[in-house]
Amino acid sequence: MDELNKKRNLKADPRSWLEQIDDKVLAEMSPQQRENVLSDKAFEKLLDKGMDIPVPVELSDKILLNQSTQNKRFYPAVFSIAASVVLITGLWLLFPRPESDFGSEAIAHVKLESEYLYLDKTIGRQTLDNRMKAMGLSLPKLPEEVVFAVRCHYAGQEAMHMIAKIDGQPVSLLMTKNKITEEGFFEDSELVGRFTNNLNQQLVVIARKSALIDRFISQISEG
Amino acid sequence: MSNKERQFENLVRSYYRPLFQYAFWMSKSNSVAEDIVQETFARAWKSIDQLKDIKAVKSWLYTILTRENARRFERKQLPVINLSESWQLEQVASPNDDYEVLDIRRAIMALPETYREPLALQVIGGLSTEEIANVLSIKSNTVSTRLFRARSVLKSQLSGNFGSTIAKGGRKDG
Repeated sequence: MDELNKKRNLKADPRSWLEQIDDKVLAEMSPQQRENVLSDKAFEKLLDKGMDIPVPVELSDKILLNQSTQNKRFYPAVFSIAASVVLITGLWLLFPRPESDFGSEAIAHVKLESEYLYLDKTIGRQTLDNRMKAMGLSLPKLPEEVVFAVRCHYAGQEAMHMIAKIDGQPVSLLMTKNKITEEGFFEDSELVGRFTNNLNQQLVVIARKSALIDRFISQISEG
Repeated sequence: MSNKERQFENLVRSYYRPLFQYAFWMSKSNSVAEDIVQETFARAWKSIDQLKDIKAVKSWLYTILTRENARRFERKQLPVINLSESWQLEQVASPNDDYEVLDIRRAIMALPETYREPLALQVIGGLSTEEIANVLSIKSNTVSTRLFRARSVLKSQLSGNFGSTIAKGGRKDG
């Protein structure tokens, strides 16, 4: 009976045992057994790809926003983001600044959303990739640990605001499709930032130390 | 932000993606799947305080979603135009999908719900046979049988044009 149960479990959940078959075990099998294992592995891989359909990029924000409207005490990320976008845009309109002041805007943006700097749940790479693709953005390499990635407004255009972690320290990235005129570094008493370009996109990286910025840029650069 | 709010946000960010995919394969519709996931999290918010074991959170969410999907048929509904399955599959296809992926999606769509449901819970949710049995309120042996048959049906559907990939052991993906 136990043997029957075992067989049934193997057939119902082939992944659990296929994972245990490495190249060494495979080499010891007969050609027929090997072909069956490879065939099953290929099928499971195809099954994963088949079921992995794209997910609407804004769905999580929509869920949280709906929740916030049902519960006045609950102000999730998206609600604060919407408020901060309005605030930043309002300040921008009320106090026109020189065109070269995108550094100050970047620092103000990061500070307004500082509560998200300390999120610790990493966003999946596929999710991150989907969110970027939906905005027509891309990077040669994705940062290793990203905890926040939402659509926002920066430098008069749509942007992605991303927060990555390097050794537990937050590094913020504002990324736009169109380049802006600024170059080099900027700073205030707490944060430093750097303008850089990649694949014809504008990147603005902000952190507490310039070493973190260098490491972040190295993470997302090719080679 | 309170602990409850933070916990809820983490829950949403961590699980909305697989829950949406599971809902899609259950409802066969992008828009219905989106509604079901929203309803699922609305219910989860209301009863999150009752969640005692954080390890059980995944099964708990899939159970709520499965019930929400079933509840759809109990509600009074306005007449709707049923869009074809192939149209729904076109909505989730990307130019990079190869033929084998499109074929298996059609085959999954055509599976009886009793097979598609446990298979989606296993593949998308990563649930064990026992967890699937709990979510669907059926016996573990029944789950095992349905999972085995689901795979058999899919393989038989695909055998005509899937043979080449099988023979190469999946190397085609590179």
